[in-house]
Amino acid sequence: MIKLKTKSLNSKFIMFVICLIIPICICNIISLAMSKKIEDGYVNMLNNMLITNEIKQHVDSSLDNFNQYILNGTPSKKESYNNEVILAKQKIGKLKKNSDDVNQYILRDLDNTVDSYIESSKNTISAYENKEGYIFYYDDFVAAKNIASYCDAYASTLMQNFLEANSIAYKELNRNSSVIYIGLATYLILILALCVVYALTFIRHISKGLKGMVEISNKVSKGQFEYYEGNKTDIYELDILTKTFNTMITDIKNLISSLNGKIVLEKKLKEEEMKNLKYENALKEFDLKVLQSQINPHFLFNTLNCINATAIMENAITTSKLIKSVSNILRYSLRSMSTNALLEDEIKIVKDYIYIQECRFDDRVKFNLSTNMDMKKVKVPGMTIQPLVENAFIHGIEGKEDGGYINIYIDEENGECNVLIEDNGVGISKEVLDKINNYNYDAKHTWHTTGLGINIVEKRLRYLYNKKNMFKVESEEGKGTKVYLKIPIMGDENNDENINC
Amino acid sequence: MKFLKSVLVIILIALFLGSNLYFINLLRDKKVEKEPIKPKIVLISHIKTNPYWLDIKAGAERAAKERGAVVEFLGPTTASTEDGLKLFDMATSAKVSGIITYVQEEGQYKKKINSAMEKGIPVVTIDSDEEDSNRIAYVGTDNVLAGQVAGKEMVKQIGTSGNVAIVMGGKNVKNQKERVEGFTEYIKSNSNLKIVDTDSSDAMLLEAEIITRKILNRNDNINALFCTSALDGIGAARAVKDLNYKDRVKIICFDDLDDTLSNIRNGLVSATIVQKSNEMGYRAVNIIMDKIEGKSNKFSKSLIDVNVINNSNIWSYKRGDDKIEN
Repeated sequence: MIKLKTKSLNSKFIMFVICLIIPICICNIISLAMSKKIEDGYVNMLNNMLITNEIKQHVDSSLDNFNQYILNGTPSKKESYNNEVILAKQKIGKLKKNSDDVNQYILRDLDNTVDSYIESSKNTISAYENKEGYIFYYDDFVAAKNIASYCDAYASTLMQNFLEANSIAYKELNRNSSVIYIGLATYLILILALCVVYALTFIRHISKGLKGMVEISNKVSKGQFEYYEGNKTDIYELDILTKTFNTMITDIKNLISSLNGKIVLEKKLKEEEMKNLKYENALKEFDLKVLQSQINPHFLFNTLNCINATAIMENAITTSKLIKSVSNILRYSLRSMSTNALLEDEIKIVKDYIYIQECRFDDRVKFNLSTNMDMKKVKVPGMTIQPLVENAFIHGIEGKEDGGYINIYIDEENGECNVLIEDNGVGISKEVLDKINNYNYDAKHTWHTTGLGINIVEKRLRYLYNKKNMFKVESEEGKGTKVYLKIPIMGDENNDENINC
Repeated sequence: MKFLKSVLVIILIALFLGSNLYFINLLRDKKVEKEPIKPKIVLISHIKTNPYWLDIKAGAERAAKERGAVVEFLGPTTASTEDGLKLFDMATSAKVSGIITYVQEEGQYKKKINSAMEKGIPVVTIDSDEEDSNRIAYVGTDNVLAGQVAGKEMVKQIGTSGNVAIVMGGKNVKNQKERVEGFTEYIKSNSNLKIVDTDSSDAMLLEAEIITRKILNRNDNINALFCTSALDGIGAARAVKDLNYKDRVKIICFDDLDDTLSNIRNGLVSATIVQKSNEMGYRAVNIIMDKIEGKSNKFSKSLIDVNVINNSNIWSYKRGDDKIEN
């Protein structure tokens, strides 16, 4: 069994043309062969008839010449008589070669009759030449004439036979040809019908395939990317088109879903950025708050310098020292609020602060500063330690009537710098402590309103180092508070940069 | 579906190729095997279209087929000695293998027959003879016997006493005379029948009818008519019918023309003497072939008996069929 595969348009078209052309060619060839055959028959018949006629004419003219010779004795007549007889015999021989069953008998008769004629006429001629006298050759002479007329009769019969044979052959051919023509007509009709059917199915296949494609294209253009099975056609190209179209739709669908995923991701990213921006905004807000509380710094510094100079002139050493410390703290805080600083500088400011507070409160508060490491290696956001110390003083010791102490320990452990700020003040209530330790950065900031900058300190540390658990507060009401800072020790190389910020 | 489709395609292709082959076959030249040329025997008849002669032709062709020869059937369209002789002359000039001829007029054929025999063409005369010639044989009805058979049938039909008249096709025609001779001889020696009148129609229909009328008018006690040639019987039957003598006058005639046969069926004619024409043609060709093949044939005459057709066997009779039992 032949397996009919899906064929490409090309091969289909070629097949179609071949199926159309071959039968038409055969039709033409057959009709050509038929007319050729009829023509051949006629040519053959005509040839035979012409030859027969020539034989007849040869015999007639030989008889004529023979007659004239006997009457006048002209030798040229005898010669032409001989020639004519020889020609007649030759032509009979020629006809005999391709004669049919019926004609071979007539031809034999004709041949024999011509022989008889020659015999009689030769007898006459020899008798005439021997001068035997009229009486001796008269019978032969008459016989020769009679026999010549018989030749004519045979020739006529022969011609008639040729005509009849051809007409019989023609009739048979005609009968066959009518069968053939009917056959050929049936052929052509069948072929045309087949072509029409083929073309119709072909067009139906194409339109079916295309229709499905058009429908799905419409859907796609409206944004509906659904899988399309496609009408299976016998046309290779169309099937491929449908298949690739399907692949395309599937790909687009996948692409769109992956794009959606990306958009969600980007949205998340944006949200993250927003958060960061909010942090920075918080910082800025803090800075602003700080600045708002400042009066013109230049005026302040100039004034302080003037006071300092006056104090030195008046020889008030302590006053001068105090003013210098205040001046330092102010300058530092204005400069380093938004930049990072080294722990060493931070601690210098803390020392200035301690000096001022010791002058203010004399023995009521006692400060202990113990540093046990190279503080140049540690980087912190500006104004990190001083606010903590200030907090410890303001919220811890100031409220306590009998005073207290504040201890500051700085040492190195496991590559980290541990800072401990310890006081024995009033402590922090449990409620507030929880808020400090579980500070939710996303929630609205409430610490500014309370004046506690602890969490802002922590936030800035976290922002700098991107690390958690750097800050811890322990406190007990009435006993005191401990603030722990764990700051990573940075390499030296970063320091210059940070200082110069 | 797929299977059906391929089957359909195969059928279409097969149909296509088959019809092509058929067309080519129709167009192909039918190469007939040219049969080797056979000896030709010319049969020159009395009258070419006569059914009697067509029977002879059929017999001749039957023999020719058996012996490997062909027969050419010729003859004048009306009885003519000149035409007959011309045909004979043509056959002689054409140097055919043998000639079977009817002698239109005795005496006229002798020279031609002899000259043909001299040229080595065997000649057989048929139905009528040229006794003086060198022809190798004569094939024909034994007319004396035929007359005797007719006499016998006459006695059978009307008994041994009564008056009989004879209508003959030419008083000088040899076979007619022989028939009358045989008839007369038989009647004289076997019955008391009297032949009261004899006249000739010269084998023509209208004359036969007139002669019969004359005979029946001349003699008022005729019991039967004997007609010696084919058309005499038909003419006599017409006359008898017209005169209303159907039951009074019985007719015995010769040959099996359609009219004669129907006359027997309706009772106008009592019996007819039928010559075995088929047998004649058959035997003539065989004699020629024997001569060509060198077999000797002692008889210069080959006489053939006759059949009698009357109302007892008319219904089973078919013309050309010689095997009728008497």
